[in-house]
Amino acid sequence: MVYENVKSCPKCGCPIDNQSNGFKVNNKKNGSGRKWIVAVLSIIVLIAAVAIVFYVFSSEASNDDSEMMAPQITAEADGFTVLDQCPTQYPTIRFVLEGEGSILKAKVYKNDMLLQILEGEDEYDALATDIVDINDPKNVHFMDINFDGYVDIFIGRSMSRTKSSAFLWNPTSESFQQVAKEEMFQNIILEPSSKSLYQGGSSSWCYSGFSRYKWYIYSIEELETLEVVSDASQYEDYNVTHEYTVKTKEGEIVSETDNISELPEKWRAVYERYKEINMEITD
Amino acid sequence: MANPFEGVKIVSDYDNNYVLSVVLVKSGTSESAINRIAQVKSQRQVSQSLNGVVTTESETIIRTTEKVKENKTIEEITDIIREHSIGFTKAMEVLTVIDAKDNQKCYMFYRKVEEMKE
Repeated sequence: MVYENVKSCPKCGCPIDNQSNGFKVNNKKNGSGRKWIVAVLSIIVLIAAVAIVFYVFSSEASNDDSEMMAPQITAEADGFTVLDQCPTQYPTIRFVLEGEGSILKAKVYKNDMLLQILEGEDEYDALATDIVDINDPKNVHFMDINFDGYVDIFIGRSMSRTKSSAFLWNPTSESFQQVAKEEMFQNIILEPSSKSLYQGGSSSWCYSGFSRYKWYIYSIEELETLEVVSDASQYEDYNVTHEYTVKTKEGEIVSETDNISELPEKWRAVYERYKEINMEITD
Repeated sequence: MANPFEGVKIVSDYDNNYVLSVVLVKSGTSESAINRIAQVKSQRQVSQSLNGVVTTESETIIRTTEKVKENKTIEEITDIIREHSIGFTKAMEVLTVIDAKDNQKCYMFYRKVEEMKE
């Protein structure tokens, strides 16, 4: 029989190994109990460690998020925000710009630590052109250009016939990334209520063109354009027959008129605002 | 001028000199956006040329007649532009726009070099 040499402990009834003369208790039950306790304690310690690590990282991340929140800018009565309303300084970000006449390179410091260097592909692929004074604080503005709640940076003066660049804060990579590198970002106008971006200006003495863009977080898509040609019959290169023409991106005509008051309301407001910006620049 | 070109040339006629800048821009976006891009691209191109980044040769001057009043060199003309015309490149205007191959548009910009006029 299997149980012939096995006795029971009088206290608890657990089996006693006969060959150990009753001194050694067969404590399989107690041994496995300790192992369980150790295992459970280990799991608790592990969970606690993970929780602490997670808390530390998440609190750091939230600190970073709060550090990079977009500045609060109130749109004007017509619902638009323009570059001059945006601050030229931000508490945690500092810039060192390089170039002469153009901005070729921008060193970005966050809390006085070099975060990244923004630059064009080659010496003449400038971030911004027509820069009179490289040290002018108005060369850089802070805003929420893509309406995601984080601060973005705009480098350049955003005037007609010039190039400017926009860099968006990416909280995942914790760095700024350039948007629409090929775009010029001239005379930008933001409309927070519709999360739209407008830009445009004169590219010839008789022609001005404006575009409306929709955001896809880090990229833009052009939706509509307004083309203003002073004497359309003289300039067939522009493929319009009226002074004011609103087109889709594909070139389909939405509205065309020689009277600005007949333009769609939104475009009329954008064009009026553009003229105001240019008057301020000229003055 | 036998071959088409993308770049900067100076055209001289009897009394005047003109700077001509030709750029190619990819179609695909709206005309409004292409016009903006072409303007800035042309400015950069002329600026590079005036600053000697792009080498210029005697062929760069196109003489529309042999009876040009002053046979100035490239260096002389660029010096005149630099000395007398701030924002010269920014004020260049569209001469014409042509559809080019490979879904591109060819923009020609020009500006008269005023100071050359007698």
